[in-house]
Amino acid sequence: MTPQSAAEILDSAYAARATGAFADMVGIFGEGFPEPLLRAAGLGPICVHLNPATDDVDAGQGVSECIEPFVDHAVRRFLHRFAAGRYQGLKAIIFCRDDTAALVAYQYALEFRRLGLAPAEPQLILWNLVHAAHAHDFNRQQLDKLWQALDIPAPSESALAETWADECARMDALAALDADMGQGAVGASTAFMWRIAGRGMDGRQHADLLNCARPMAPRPASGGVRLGVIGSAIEDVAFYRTIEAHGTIVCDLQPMIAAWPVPLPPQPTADAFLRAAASDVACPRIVPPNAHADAVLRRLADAQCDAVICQLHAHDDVIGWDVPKIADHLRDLDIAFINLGFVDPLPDTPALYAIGAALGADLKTRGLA
Amino acid sequence: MTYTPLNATKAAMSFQRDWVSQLRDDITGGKKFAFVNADTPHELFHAMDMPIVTNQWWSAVIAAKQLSEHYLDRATEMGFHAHLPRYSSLPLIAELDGDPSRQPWGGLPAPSILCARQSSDEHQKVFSLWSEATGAPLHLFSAPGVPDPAPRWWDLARDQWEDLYHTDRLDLMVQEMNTLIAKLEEMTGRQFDHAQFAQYMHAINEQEAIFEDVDRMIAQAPRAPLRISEQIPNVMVPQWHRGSDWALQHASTFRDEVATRIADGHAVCENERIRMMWIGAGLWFDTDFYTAFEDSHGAVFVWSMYLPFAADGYIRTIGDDPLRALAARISLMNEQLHQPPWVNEWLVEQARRYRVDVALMLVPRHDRFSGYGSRFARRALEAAGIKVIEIWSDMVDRRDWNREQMQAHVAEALDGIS
Repeated sequence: MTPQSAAEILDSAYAARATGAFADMVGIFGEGFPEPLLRAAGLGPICVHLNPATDDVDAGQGVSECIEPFVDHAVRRFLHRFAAGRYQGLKAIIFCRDDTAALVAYQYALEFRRLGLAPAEPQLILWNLVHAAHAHDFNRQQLDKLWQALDIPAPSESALAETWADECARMDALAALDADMGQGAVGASTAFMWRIAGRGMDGRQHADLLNCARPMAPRPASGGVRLGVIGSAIEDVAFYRTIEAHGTIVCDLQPMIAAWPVPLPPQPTADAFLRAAASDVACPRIVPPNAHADAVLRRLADAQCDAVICQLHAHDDVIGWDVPKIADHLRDLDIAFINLGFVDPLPDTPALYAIGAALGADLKTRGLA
Repeated sequence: MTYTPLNATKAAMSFQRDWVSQLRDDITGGKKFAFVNADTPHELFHAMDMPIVTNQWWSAVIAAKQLSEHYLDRATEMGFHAHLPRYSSLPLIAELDGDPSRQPWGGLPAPSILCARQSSDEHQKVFSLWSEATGAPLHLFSAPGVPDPAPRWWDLARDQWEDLYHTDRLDLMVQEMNTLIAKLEEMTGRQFDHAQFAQYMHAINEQEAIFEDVDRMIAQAPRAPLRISEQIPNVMVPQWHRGSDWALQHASTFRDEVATRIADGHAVCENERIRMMWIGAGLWFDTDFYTAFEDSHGAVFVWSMYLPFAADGYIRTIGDDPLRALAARISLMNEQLHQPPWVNEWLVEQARRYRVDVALMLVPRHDRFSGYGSRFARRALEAAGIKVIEIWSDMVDRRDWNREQMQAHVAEALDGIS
């Protein structure tokens, strides 16, 4: 494998994400699921909230009229695909309750099925991992229930150890990719695509591809000002390219980057995987609640950003609570805070143009252009 | 047409006014109090004799004082974006505004403890900010979802709640309630009395059974005997003090007065032609809206969720574990009122019981937890032959509310019926 061919495989995998054959695959909706457990059990996770826009379908008016306009963009698109039978063939779909959109996706999908507006397959499973240290016994029960629902045995110790080693390799490769991005050696748009590309791969394969491709990864074009990105999920690489025209993104904390993969434990046991997932500060529902924003601030400071760009979905009801606090703290650190306001997760060309123009003008005003 | 309010309503309001006045004196005199969300186990605070102020009630008070416009504008100035939920956050914004003299009562002093449940995503954020601002410790209850939800939840909630709400969820909630009890014991220096708590839980069931009688009477009455603007305080003030001697006594008084009204043939509208339900929490900044169609269309609101939910949402067989029964009451309290399949099935059942013709459905687009499931509910109600009118507004934010326009919109829809 050459760096060129590895990069091509990653680029293709990004373009084809969440599509392909479904044999022995389990759909995952939302962030926060400890996927290595599933891999160790012999099943492959596939992210059903990450399908490209080209995979969108319209399941008809019966479905459309039951989805309020303020339902998350990703949920709406998923529900249409689900109702249209797009996910038949999957062994199940798991919904992560502590993802801010997934509970609604689960409830609406079940309801569409109950009303006869969606197919009877696949099985829908609610993953109730509680992000609090005191809830470990409860979380352990959820894992036992998961194996029962999937009708498979819990993974063996050796399978867990093997998967854990593969996932450690992935984590190391992603950390190296992030480090390259922090040093301006890899563009954030490339890092975004290559990270997302691995969500359908096992850890070792992803790690090998990243390690091979990194040396020839495209460098960001503009250089200059060091930027951080926070806020709601961004699904399209075009957003990154727009931002990169004005500076180098050195710290990317949007949920699709910050919340995957979930942290790995120091030992490969099921309990340890659960504890690591339950203590993931990338989850906005973690207890204590300030842990999420505090972690964001630490990472932005560590990345030595000159400016931090914030963008939020119009229906955000979580991250927006942290914005004034983050802005205040950044001001104390002499880091510029640039709030782009509401940004669609898949912004169209005029929106991207407006984002670029607003960002350019803002940076210029601050003397950072 | 002259409408005569119930004596019970005056009594409830008077009691609450006096209680609030005493509480204000107690709090400013240094007595500890808890600031809690509506869907938390208030019973534990009552049992430990710690007064509570409920977030959503305080929010409604701020709105009723026509202060929401100021505070929600301030929220934007503080950097909170304009689409965040308002009902649960208005008191926080008033607190962060830093000018207690503008608030009702001259504002609240710092609570001794905060308590919320993670049912809606914003709760932990709002209460965490409140905790940071006041230094009060925060107790959070988890809110894991319910797998494979039973649509007719109210058939199971009283006696079969272990299966309905799932053993693992109830175990976790009881664990978290015990942690809260330990905190309250430390704060108050009192011991939680389990035997007394069991009696208290039975008293609450007794109170809710009285409300169930009232609910049945109003549903079956030939014409609506009272306005929902009177139903609400006569239910919610006793709910605040649920299980107390006063609450039980008031519930009985309310029931008797309603029974007398029905027996006397009293009606809100002599010429009642259209029976309506108000879906969602109250329109707290304009409660007169509930009466706007009585004269013009003979259209009366006969139903709001607060009375029927007293029975379905609160009565739980207690058995030998009162804390677990309380967990069964609380662990899905809010969700049943807002999420599919629970809300749509329950609303259709209620509409049938009350012989409803038209449903006005409050859809708060920026309070998504309350707005979810609206379209499933609409679909189910329409399938049951009920006309649904969506009211896109907010419980506490009057900034986008155009009374004239909304009244004309509803009137036009009612014209087609009458």
